[in-house]
Amino acid sequence: MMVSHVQLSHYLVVAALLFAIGAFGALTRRNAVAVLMGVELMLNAANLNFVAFWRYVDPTRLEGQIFVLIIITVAAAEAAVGLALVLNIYRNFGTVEVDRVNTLKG
Amino acid sequence: MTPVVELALFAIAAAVVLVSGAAVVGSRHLVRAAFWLLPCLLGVAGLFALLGAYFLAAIQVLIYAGAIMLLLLFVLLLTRDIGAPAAAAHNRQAGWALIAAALVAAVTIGVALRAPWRLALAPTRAGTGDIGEALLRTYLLPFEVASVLLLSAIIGAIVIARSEPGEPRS
Amino acid sequence: MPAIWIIPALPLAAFLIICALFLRPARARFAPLVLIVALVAALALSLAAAAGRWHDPTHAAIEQRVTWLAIAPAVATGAGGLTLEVGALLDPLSAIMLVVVSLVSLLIQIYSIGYMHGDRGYGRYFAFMSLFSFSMLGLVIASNFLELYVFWELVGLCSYLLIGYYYQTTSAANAAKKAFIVTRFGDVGFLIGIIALSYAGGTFNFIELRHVVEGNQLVPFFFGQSAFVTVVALLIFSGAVGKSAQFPLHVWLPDAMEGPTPVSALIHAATMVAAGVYLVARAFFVFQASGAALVVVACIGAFTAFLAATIAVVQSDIKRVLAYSTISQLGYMMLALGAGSVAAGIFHLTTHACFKALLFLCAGSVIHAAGTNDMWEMGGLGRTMKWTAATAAVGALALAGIWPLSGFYSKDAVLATVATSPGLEAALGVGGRDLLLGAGLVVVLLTAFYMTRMWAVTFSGPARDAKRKHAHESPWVMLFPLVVLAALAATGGLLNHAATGMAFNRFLGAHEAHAAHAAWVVWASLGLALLGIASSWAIYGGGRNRVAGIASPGALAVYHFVQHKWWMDDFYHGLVARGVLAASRIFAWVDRHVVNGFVDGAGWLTGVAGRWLRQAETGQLQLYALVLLAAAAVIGFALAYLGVSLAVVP
Repeated sequence: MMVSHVQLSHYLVVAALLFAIGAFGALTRRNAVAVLMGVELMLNAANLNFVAFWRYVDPTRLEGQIFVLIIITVAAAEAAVGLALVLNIYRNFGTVEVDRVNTLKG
Repeated sequence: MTPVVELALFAIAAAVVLVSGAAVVGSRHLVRAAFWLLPCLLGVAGLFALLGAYFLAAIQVLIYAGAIMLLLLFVLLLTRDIGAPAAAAHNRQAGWALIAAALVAAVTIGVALRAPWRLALAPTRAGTGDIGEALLRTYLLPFEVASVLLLSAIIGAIVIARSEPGEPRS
Repeated sequence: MPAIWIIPALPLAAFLIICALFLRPARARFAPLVLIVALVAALALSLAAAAGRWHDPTHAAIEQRVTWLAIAPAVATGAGGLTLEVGALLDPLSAIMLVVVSLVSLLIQIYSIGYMHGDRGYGRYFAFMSLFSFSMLGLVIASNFLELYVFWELVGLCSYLLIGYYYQTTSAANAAKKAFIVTRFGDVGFLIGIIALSYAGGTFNFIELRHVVEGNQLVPFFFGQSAFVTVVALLIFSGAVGKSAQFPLHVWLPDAMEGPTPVSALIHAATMVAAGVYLVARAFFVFQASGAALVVVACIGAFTAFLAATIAVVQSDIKRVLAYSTISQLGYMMLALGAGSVAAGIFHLTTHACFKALLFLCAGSVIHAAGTNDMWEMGGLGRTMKWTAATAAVGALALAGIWPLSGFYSKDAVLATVATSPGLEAALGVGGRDLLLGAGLVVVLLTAFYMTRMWAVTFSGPARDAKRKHAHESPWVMLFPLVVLAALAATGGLLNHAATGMAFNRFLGAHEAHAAHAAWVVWASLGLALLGIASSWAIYGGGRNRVAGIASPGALAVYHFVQHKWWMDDFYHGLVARGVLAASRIFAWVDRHVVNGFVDGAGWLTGVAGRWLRQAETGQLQLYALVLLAAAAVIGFALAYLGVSLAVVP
């Protein structure tokens, strides 16, 4: 049994910070693509959480990794569709600045 | 690998992840922000490897750092505001968002540090073969659903992104 | 003994039949027949009922009652229940009233056939008249206060409908309103009195309440025993003040002359206005339990009699003379009751019904023939309308109280009662009682004076207006009731004469079978009456007006004061009408600004809130996402650190 200096909580802290950073980016950036970048960071933070838990709680069960695989898959699909949407917005509004896409206002 | 080395590697990987993450989010130059994403994602892959999920680390590099980042770059370049004045990178709610994000982080970190986790640091047994087998046996359904999801995403992305007939191709 | 309620039910049936079949002008001519048949039957039954009571040696009362609504007492608290009954009470008092009402009604309806002939609302007239007959007959046989109140309001309604018969005329519509509203003031007090009395006595029923009051078993809930009874009696009396046009609620009766003359004769002379007198008689046990209330009744009666008589002297509208005369005579009846004698008051009511109805019908004939109400435009009608003039003379002399007509005996009974009243003497002293008696005697003089004036100006002397010289006599259908009433007015004294052993008084069970008698009062009233007639004839006989040229300031001042009805109508107008209008302006302002302000304010508030809340709808997705994140952080915090649990089962 290996004694490790790195504890589960360290990974969780890193994931939490990464998530916060990603959230800040998604909420604050004015360019649509930059928002999507923030979303990707958040997804990565979640993945990190999953793997950390897998490793430290019960490495013999594979749910953790499988879940991460699925998440990566979904992230890829989401990025594809999201970016297609951004292209469409660019075509219709002439800009991808999120502030300016506010026809829901009122 | 000795514990000290492991700790050092962890520290480096974590620092890379967090610093480049901050750069992604904070950089005014869009392409640079996209490029900063690369070390971030690679850092996460490194952390996966440190945790013993080698297959996942590889996948992370392939898909995330490879495909998704590329896609982001493509779209960035396709949607340039040519001649547009340099506008602010962040909107007016940056202050509030900072507070909110900090709050989320604080809560989560607090829980993470204080909770009494029931842990077992057993040697990993999972190899790539095991994962493959699990995907086709126990987790067949999610696997297939994910495939369908990918298919629909492909079709959807094509439909959404293609230009209308007569419209100038962007 | 058959059901007593059939008597009022007959005119009610007539009402329904007329409304169903005979309202249209084409078929309206059959309407009076229905009513007259009903009234003849009612009269026959009333006479039979009265005869039955007369022949009963004890003149006992018969009561037939039915429970209308019984609310059981609360079991838990023992709070008293409530039982509402409907019943018919037949005793000497109600028997007399039944006969009087149905007889006078019948004669007046016969008269109306001729008087209302050709009028567009012929059917409507008889419909309302039958409704009134039903209401009045029901009123006099009511066996409990609540039932009486219901019929009380019904006669008020019929009065309103009939005063406003010529509703297209503004003055008639206003008069109807005035009548209803003024009597309303009285009715409010009346209702409060009823409720207070029956709450304290535990029942609405007359006979039961009488036992309770006389057995000292009332449970007063404010003041002491005697003060309570006095207040209740006065409250009940306020209803009578309104309905019988006593001061200060007398102002509606002269205006009520806007209605057709038979209406004035029936409702505002013979029957409805007598309902107040009947009420006091019926509730006499309450008044007797409180000496003070009786004195108040007497004083108001005396003052009203005087007030109205003075105003009658200067009226030129023939119906107004009779209206004020009615008010004055009603005051007499109240005076008699207040002095302690139900028999005297009711006797005067009976004789008054006959000769006042007669006088009104004569006035109607004269108005019909001459086309005007103003006496000074008439004159010399005695020549062409002999029957009318003769019967009118009989009526006038009866009203003036000339022997041997009925009015002489009834007026004598009233004055004698006042002169020898122990109650009045006890309360006001001999001086006070004599003051009331003096007022009564002065009224005798005035009454004779103005009646002679009326007859002289209308019937005697030459015709003043060439056009009216040829006014013709009325048809027999109108003369027949006049003659019958004149006969009754002439012979009515026999009811209470030594020859019949004071039958009337004995019937009513008056302790005064010995009958109050003060000889000098008889001679005094007779003398004053003759004096009044003589002086009036001297001034107005032969159709002249020998006082027309008097210009002395004192006399003119008095004349002015009296002619303006002692300024009472103006007083009411200023106080009530203007006061109410001022108050209503305030309320209107409150409604417009405060109440509307609330409503408008609510709308404004909603708008403002909406505009303010709308600021959240920025259309900026990142704002929404921020809110989400913040909320999630808060929830996470609560879950993690505040012990909030998401578990459904605690």
